[in-house]
Amino acid sequence: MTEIAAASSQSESRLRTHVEATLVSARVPRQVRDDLAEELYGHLWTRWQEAIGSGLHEQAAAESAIRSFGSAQRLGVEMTAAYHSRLYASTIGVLLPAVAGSADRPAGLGRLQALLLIPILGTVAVAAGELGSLTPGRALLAVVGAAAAVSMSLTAILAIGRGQRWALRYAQLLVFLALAFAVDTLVIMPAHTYQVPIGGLLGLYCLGPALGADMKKWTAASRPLGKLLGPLAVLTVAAGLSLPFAAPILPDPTQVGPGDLNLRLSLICTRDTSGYVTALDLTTEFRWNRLDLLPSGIKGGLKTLEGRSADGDGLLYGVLPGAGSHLDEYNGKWLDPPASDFSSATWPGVNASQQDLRDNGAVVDSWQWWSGPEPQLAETTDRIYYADVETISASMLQAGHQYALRQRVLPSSIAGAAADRDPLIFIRYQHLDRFVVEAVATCERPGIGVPVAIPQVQVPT
Amino acid sequence: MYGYEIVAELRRSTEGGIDLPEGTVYPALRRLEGEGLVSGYWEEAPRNAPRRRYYKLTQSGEGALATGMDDWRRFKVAADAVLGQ
Repeated sequence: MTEIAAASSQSESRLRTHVEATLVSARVPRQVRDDLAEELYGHLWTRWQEAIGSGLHEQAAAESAIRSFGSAQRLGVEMTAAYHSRLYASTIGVLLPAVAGSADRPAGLGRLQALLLIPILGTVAVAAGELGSLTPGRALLAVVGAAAAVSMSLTAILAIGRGQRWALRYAQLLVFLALAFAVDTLVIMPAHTYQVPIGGLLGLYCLGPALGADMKKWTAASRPLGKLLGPLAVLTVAAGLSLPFAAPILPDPTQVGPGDLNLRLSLICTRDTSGYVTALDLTTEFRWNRLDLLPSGIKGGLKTLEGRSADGDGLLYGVLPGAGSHLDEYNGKWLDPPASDFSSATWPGVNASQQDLRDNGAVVDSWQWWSGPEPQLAETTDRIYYADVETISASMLQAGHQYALRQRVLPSSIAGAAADRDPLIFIRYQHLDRFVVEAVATCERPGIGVPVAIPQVQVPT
Repeated sequence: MYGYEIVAELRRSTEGGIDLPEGTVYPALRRLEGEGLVSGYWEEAPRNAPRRRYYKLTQSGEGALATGMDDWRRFKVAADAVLGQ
């Protein structure tokens, strides 16, 4: 800094200190800093001289001049606003000004600054690892979170070096989280296993400086961030520390939901002369109003483009027990023993011809219908007597197209069907691993799809 | 005029009605300088006092001042009319 005027007294030194405090609170271009210091000092000096002339003692005159001049921090903010936008002045200009001198830096300051690097490394690593496989909305959230963590942590590293209390609070939060995470790890760690809780050790290493008197003193002159910036900083920290980790489970509007799928199941029952059912013709119709945008993330999208197999949707058909039993909704069991009609022995589904999936009448996929004496293990629950599952390739589906799938289900023996009158047929459309829409139809009534919980498959005992 | 002089003149002409913290005049002056409405220059001060930075209106500053004064007068007339002065 340019020499202003030789400090000839303690009072002049006091005036210079106030100018210096004003300028460290301000973020002004380096090239105007000296110029500004000289101008501000000149003002204080003139005021000081005037106060002395009015009869005040030197020291009292200096304090009077400083009082008239205004607080260093307020002028610092005003000065910052003169050289930057209002937005900058009210955010970075408040977060970063120095309020502590450089001579008495606490010994543990470096530790805390190193600790503040952890969110940067952690969130960036997590976000980078997930980015390829997250759906677009989730990837965006992960990136936003990582950016928030990086910006707040970098700002905090600078701010804690300048004595800002908010940055100390942030470091204290990280210490607490590191210790809590370590305790949680130790509690849930299986017996006879050994794992070094590195985060916990780091937390312990920084605990002393974070809570110590030195740091408290270092940040003593710091002012609160204010009613707007304070909550905003807390929100940014919270978003930065949580979003990269929570992104995979957060809702993503770029992905379809149950409301985007129209599903309908209709049933034609062929009966013998006594009215018993001898054949079921199922027609499943579905239409997607829209489709997922990169449902498996960028990597998944690239795999699909390369022609590799992509996970598809599942269509699961089943014959439910007869109308006499009561279902404990979708996750429970039959409350009564199933009626004798539509038993697994009678309705396993037998040799049907190839079934075709049609898109507006044109065949787009086909399967050989599974047939066998027993239901498939993976699809067997205590509520399903017969089940057949088909996989629909996600790459085949188009939004707005009407798809139809027809199947014929036959009893294994006409004699066994002699008691079967009232079939309940269900179809479940499972979209990837995300949701299930189910429609239940009878001979008289078609079924419209409604979202249900993803059923838990139970292996029969 | 230099900063201290401006503050003193403001206080004198308003008879103490406008009495802001004196330091706030400098961010305002620097902002006006940044907008090209005033220009600053240094001059030595008498009796070993620190040198002073004087400010004067630029041409565009004079235009802005005239416009501002017109605006203010219109505002004052309107405000007086509303207040029944």
